[in-house]
Amino acid sequence: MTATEVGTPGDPSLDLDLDRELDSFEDQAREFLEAHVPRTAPATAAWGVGDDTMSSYAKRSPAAEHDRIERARWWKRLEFDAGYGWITGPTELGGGGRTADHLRRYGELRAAYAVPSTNVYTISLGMVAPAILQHGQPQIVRKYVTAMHRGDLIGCQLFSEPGAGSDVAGLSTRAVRDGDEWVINGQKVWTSEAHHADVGLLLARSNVDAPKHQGITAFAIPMSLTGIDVRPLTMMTGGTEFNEVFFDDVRLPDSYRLGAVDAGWGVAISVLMNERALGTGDAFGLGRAVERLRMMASMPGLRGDDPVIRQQLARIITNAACIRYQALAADGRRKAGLPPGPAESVFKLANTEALRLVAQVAGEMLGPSAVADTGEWGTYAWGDLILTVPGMRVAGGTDEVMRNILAERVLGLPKEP
Amino acid sequence: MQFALSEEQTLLQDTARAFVDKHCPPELAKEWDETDHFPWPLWKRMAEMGWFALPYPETWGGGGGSPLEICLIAEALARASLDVAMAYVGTFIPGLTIHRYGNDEQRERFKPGLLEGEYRIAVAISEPDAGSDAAALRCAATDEGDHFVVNGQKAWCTGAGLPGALIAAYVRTDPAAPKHRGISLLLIPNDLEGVQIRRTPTLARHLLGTNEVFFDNVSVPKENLIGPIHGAFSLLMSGLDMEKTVMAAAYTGVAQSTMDEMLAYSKQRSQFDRPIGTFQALAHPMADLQTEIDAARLLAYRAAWMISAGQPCTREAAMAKLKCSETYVAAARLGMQVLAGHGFATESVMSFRWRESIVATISGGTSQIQRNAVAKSMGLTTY
Repeated sequence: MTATEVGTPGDPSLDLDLDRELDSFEDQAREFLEAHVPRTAPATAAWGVGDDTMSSYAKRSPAAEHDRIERARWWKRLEFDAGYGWITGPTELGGGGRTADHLRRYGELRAAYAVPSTNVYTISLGMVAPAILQHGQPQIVRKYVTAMHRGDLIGCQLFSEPGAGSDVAGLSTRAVRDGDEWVINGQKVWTSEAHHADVGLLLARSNVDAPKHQGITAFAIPMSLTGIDVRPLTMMTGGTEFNEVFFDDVRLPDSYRLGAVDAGWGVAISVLMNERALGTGDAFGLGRAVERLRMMASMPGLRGDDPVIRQQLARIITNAACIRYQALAADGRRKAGLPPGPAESVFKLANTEALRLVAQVAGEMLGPSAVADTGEWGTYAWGDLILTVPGMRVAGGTDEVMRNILAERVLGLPKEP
Repeated sequence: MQFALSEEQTLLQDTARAFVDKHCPPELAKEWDETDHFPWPLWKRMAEMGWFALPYPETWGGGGGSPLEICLIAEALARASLDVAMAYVGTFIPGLTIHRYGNDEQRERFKPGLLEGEYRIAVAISEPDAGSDAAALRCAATDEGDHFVVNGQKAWCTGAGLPGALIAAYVRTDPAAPKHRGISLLLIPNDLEGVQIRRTPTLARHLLGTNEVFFDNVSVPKENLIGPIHGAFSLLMSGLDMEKTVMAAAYTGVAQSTMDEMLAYSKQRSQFDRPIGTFQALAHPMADLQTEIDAARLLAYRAAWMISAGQPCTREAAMAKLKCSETYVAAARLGMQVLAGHGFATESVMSFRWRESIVATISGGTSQIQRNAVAKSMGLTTY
């Protein structure tokens, strides 16, 4: 056996160099965070302290909505300009050109600080920007991708239609070629953040004669074009996160096309896998909900001493731990450079099922206080989560679609007849 | 064993269903809920049908309806919404208490209003610290000669804020007695001086409204005392089996309506080039649900039959309330999944079903309380 040559893979001195570089990166990032945002106060995890909102679909006043967007925008710009907004992105587009380890270090560090919520950018940066980067023509990539990562522009995903939900490939919004332009007509629905969006990732039917998966073309579409009408949908919580989007003879230059004509389904698949991967971490709010439930169990009068409740709590906490380990495994896959796969569906399904049980047990513990507002902190706020759990089981792929993916692509079972 | 309804009962059921289709379809019930609107014209039409008189004996001018017949009406009304059925049931249940325990003068005084549905009677039992343990109530009435003076607070008082509502308040008249004794029932008009009503924001049940009621030195004439002084706990308990049974029937009505709505959607909605109901992943849960609804309905009808036969049915009424309310929640949950995005939009009736179902296993005695009653009947005292 020969000793590893200095400077080749396996040379321990290389690992040390990398560690030092990562440590230095982390020190600088900490300086940046310390300069701009406070650390997360431990007291926020105490009963009765802070905001008791339980659902991201909760109703917000226009002022609160404006504040949410402006704070997110302020933070994204600050973070991007300091070099932490797109750590792994290519340097020629303003990215940091660094590794997934740098991104992980920064993510872990940032979690200890009270940075503003940037959930308005979740789909924009998790789905739309990667699709444009991967499939867009150079001038479109330059126009959008950097500005999206800086938070200057917001993207939305225009896939679902009234007649095409689980069966996305059944979409009927038309894109008809007219010289160097496409003319778009049709309707999309359940479009998160469309009312804030500057650019949409659109799937439209470009060939009605081809099999349904082969006649779709993907586009990046400026949401300010003439003929686009965005109408918010009101949810049970009173929130207006989702929208209907109507296209009436919208003219779009061919340069905005993503990928080849009629090859949009491949773009859609890569985007949908990214969507399910967004669910790792605590995107569904399970960790926060379980922590709130655990606190409730120690409050007098909330049935924490009820044996039936205690058994359900134990089940919930066990499930949450399993889901956390699954998230770590998914992170491992990403770090190894593997693309998100069908197994991500397990994560989405497990999360929504766990949240369903959390909401049910919270309802049992709180009784009337969960459904009628007595003004007590941390009680009626559960109503929003109870109301929106069914939506979580549908959004981003229904439970049934997730199970089909698992059955067919993970377990290799034959397709349903 | 006879499972078929009589010809008369079938006619009543058909009439009640046609009434709902014509006067309160689910879309309208949803609109009323969203606008906090109590539909007085509907109330009057129920009175014209003679339904408010139905539970009272014919000898008193009532309709002489059996508990099963009342269940059939409640079940049909709940096809609109549970709240619509509640508006009906919630009036005659306290009315029956007045009829049964009131003196001759009170029966005569209240008779026209009870038979013709002129009163909206709001039962006030619960308090902030007396929910499942109703006997722990503290709202107090002191004897001042020819009247009582009432002070205290009630919670979860359904319909107390409607114009002209009579509040049937269970109050403590003897603080020194053991908690199940020393309770009396007073009828308190909601516009008496010192009565303050504060509506509680809730996820659903907006027709009647849920309220906190505050009594501040409210003078209530002695003639509004129903039943024996200090002896109202037995009055409170006496109507519970009937209430649970009729409400159980109502829960099966709204569960069946929910089932019918998701079934229709699953046949009409196509994905992957076929109606979504033909996927086993949806067809089997819907088949299971219909089985559950049928089982729940039979439990409600059995309890109604036992009341008619004069048999004690505390256990059977608890089973019916437990099973029927939980079946409604299960139906709404599955309905939301079958209707998926369409269900989640507030324009859909299904979103209203889900919102309304959440309180089903809480109001009228929680599922846990019903399980305690069933367990107790099995010799398993859990508290």
